[in-house]
Amino acid sequence: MKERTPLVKTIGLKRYFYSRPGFLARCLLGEKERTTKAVDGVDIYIEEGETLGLVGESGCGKSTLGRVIVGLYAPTAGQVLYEGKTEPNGQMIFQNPYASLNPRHTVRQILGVSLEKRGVPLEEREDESVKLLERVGLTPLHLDQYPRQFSGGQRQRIGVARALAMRPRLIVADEPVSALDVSVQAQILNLLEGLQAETGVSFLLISHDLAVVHHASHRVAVMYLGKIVETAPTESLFENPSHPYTQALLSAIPRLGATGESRIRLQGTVPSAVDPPPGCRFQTRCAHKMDICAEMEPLPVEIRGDPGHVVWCHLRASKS
Amino acid sequence: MAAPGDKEVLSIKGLQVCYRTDRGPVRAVRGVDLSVREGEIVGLVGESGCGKSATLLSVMRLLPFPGEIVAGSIEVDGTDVLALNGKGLQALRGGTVAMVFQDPMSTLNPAHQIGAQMKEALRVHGLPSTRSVLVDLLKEVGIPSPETVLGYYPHQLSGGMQQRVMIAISLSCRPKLILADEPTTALDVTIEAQILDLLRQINRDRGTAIVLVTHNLAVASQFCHRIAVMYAGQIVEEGSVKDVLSRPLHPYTRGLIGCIPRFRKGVPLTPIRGQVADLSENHEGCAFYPRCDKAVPGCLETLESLLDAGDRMVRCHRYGVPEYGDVAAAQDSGCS
Repeated sequence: MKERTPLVKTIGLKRYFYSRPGFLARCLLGEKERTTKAVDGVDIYIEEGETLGLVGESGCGKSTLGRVIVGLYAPTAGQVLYEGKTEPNGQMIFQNPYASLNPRHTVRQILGVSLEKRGVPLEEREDESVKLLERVGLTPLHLDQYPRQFSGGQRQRIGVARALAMRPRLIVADEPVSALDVSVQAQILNLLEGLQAETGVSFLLISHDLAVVHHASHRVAVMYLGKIVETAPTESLFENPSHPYTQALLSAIPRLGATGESRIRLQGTVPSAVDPPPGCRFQTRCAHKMDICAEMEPLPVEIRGDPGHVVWCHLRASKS
Repeated sequence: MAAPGDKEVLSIKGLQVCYRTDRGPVRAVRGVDLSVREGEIVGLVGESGCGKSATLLSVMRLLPFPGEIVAGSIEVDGTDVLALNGKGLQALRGGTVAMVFQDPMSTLNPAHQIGAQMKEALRVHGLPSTRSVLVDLLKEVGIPSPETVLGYYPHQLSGGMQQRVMIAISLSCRPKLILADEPTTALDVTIEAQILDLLRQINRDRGTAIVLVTHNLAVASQFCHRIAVMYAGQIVEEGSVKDVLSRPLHPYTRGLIGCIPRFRKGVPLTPIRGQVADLSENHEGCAFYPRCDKAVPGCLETLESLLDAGDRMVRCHRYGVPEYGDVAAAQDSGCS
């Protein structure tokens, strides 16, 4: 990594979840404590004004990683640094815009909470709220309405306005459009893109929809079972996917006008994060598995002639 | 994919569905004609609330209260579905027609073992339900170690495996038609691809016709022979997948395609303005009128049926009028 300080950087970030069975279950059934390693050693960075797409299948830990980065979960180990400091300066946009807005609060109250938190004096909050609404494509008339009175797309706009109210440097958008209809998805994606051009805010865009990630991200990180397996500038990841998992993932995407014939078929399903396989986590499903894959965790390797394209795979390490 | 035969398996004519809610009637389906031939895969695509699921549920006579079929006719394999009751309906549901739903976890009974749930379907239709029959069915849908899985409860299986079990149950009575309502929407892409493969294989090997309801145009484009695009309870465009998606004629179809990121850098998304039409309101003329950038006042007149556009049907007032030329010029918005 070069000398410059990125906006956000994670160092060896881990987040485990412990489940402790009840007293009886432990004594009578002999059940043990279980540790789910949702995020298990992640080093990523996000530059100012950049969108980093984070992709992976359900249960790979991408949402947990997003939440640790904005500070909703404390890390089990490792650090999140915002311009070298541990003070978080991120906000979150959630998947379900209805569940994430208080149904008993009007838009004025919803935005008011954030503005108060930022220390905006009472008399300026009205003006500020109107500005926020206009910025996300709503009108002052919406101030005294409740979330249920809005459509899904409008609710997501309120979610965006609430995030903006804190003037964050980073917005973690966790599946921001997957609950929306296709025609409305495009409206929200364009809104986020416009905000970035206007304010220079950075995004961590978490999504299982690779088409959305390809469209909206500058760089992409692919996550599998708690670890990043590949990261690269968007174009180079989609043109030259180098990790066997990324290759399978990309080839599985249904595309308009494609036949789906050239797909790489993955065997089996994702192992449990309670007991991930030793060595490379993808070894149980990988078609190119070697002996070393079960013994050692792969180290990051930069693809030759492709700066910023890093892959965690023994196959690549042996080639270069 | 199997070449579709000539025999009609499903024929829907002039279907109208209305939900009589406290706040007035919601006309969820407003005159749908759809025909599916033997061995054919037909996609029904559109956004939420466009009436695609209501159409499917009507075929099974499973519309939830207060939904009601108010007009039209439905025939499955020559049988008038709307005239059926009791025994006849039982023979239809899961027998001639099987349904695969979106969320396998909520359609499988969490309290019963997989084997018991599979047996139930066979028993109801008076078919043998020996262990070997069940094992063969699970094998056919690609479940590893089927003997063990028979004793599992649904929560012991992953989402993809649960959906395979659902498909095994739907296959058990050798249906002529499978209705699949967003069968892969709850699944990850790699699993989605596996399930679509499986359905395609069933279509090829058994010649079972499939109606796939999906909001995902890309899935439809890879999986279907023919698609029907629905908007506000009506089919607005219907034809072969290739024709409709590469040369969309209806402004709504074109709009939908413009909303989908297409893996090409620098191609901006062109959203359709406004919101999806509210079906509790009465729509005179074209329901897409308020969102359409090709609209003219004439669009508010009633259009009785879809217009024949040669290779497909389209429900647009402006099709066939001279100025439609500029619409045709914009056709490169389709996929290649």
